[in-house]
Amino acid sequence: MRAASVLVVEVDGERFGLLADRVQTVAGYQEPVPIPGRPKPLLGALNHHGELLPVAHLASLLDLKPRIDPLRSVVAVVDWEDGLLGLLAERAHGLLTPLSRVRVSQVLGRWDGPFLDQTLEVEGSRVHVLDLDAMLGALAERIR
Amino acid sequence: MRIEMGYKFILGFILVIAAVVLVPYLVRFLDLPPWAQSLIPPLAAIAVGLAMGSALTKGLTRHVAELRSATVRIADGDLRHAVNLGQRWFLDELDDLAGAVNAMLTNLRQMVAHILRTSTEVASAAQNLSATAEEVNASTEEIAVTTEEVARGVAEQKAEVERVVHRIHELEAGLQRIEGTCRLAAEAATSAEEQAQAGTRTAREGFGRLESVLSDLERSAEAAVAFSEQIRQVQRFADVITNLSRQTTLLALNAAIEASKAGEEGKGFAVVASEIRKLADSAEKSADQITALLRRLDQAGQGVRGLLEASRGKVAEGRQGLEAAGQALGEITGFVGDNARRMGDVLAVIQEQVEGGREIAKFADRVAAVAEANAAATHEVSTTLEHQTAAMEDMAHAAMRLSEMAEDLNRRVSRFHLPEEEAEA
Repeated sequence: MRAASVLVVEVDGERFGLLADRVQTVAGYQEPVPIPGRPKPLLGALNHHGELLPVAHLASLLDLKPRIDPLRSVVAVVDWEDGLLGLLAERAHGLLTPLSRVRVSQVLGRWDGPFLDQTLEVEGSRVHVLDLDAMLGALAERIR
Repeated sequence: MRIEMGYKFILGFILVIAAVVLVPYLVRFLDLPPWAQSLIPPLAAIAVGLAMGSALTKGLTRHVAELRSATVRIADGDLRHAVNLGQRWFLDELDDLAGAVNAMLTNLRQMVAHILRTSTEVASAAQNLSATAEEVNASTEEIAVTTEEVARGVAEQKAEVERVVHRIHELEAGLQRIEGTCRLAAEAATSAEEQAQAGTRTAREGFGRLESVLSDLERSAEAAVAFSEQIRQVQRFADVITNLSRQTTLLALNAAIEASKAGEEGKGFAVVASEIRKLADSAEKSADQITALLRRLDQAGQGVRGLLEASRGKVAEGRQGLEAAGQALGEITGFVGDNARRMGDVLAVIQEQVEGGREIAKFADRVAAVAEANAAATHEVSTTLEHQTAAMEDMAHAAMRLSEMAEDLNRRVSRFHLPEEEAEA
């Protein structure tokens, strides 16, 4: 396993990990502006430092129930093809650094959805690290 | 001239003696043979004796016969003719006897006439008496019948009076019970009036305290509104803190991400970012707790405020209710007082009625005694009437008997014939 930091977010009661190298920034929740004729996985777009940022709910990509908490939800901006993509999560739990206390478990948790790279067990909680390339690739495929 | 009969006989004897004495003397003067002279004096004496005897006897006999005839007529009841001895020169005892007989006849006439009139009147009176007695007897029988009816009526009246007396005594007892109940009610009303007055005083004191509580409640409502507003202000500060904490958290997170990307060079910065993020998390949690606490406080304050707002209307209603209750309590107190006074008046009236009932009971007892006396008197009257009826029957019988006796007397006296003028009289 590559020693990298992981941004931990929460979706539908489960914690998922996004590789911090792929995350540009984490922004607070803003209600996406709907885009007419947008592809189904996309919620809309946000103004991200003057650039149009498409936003998709991570729960929709993981076939989970999408929920939004306006006070706690965050948008993780990741690189996507030639631009950026906002992944909407219910909340952010912080950044996991590759420390010794992080114990890698091969035993999958109760969640065995798509795009699972590995599962970490951190202080009794399980973090499902996602395969962003596969997930974003699948999204690009669906949009196309 | 009156010469009694004895003197008349003496006079005749004297004449006979005179004849005996004078005739021989006179004969001497006559020229008569001796035999004649010796014979004429006795004969003359005899002749004088006979003449005198005849005259005396004839007169006596005629008068006695007349007297006898008169007495026979009187005995036969013929009182019409008086004794008439005719005109006589020399009156004697026969004239006295005729006068006495005539006097007796007169008396008899008067007596017979009186008896006739009296007997007639007696008979008429007896008949009238008998008729009256019969009428009285009939009336008495009617009276007896009526008296029996009266006696039955009096007996029924007595029974009715006894029932009435019994009812009156029951009424008196009922009035006494009513009096007792009214006395208790009056005492209860008086007690209720005192209690109502005490209750009114207590209620007014309570109203005063309740008014104070209502004022406190209004002030509490105002304080709660102010407190709620302050809580909102604090909550706005907490929201600002929360927002700052989140933004700080996001900044720390982004700093950590950037430090992670910087590798070893960003390691120290990552530590700082991590600490900042922890502080931001801690501040956010505290802000969240404060927000939650404020929210609960706000909710509680809103609840209290709602309650107080609701109470404010209720306070107004309660104040109106208190005023109405005070007024109603005053009216109730007045009403209870009026009731107490009325109960006192009723008790006085009932006591008068009880006294009146007692007097009526006494009067009824007297009436019952009078009714009983009336019944006894009626019974005595009935008995007396029976006796009177018997007596009247006896009297009617006696009247009939008297009438018969009067008729018999009249019949017997009727055989005496009176002169027409006296008979008519």
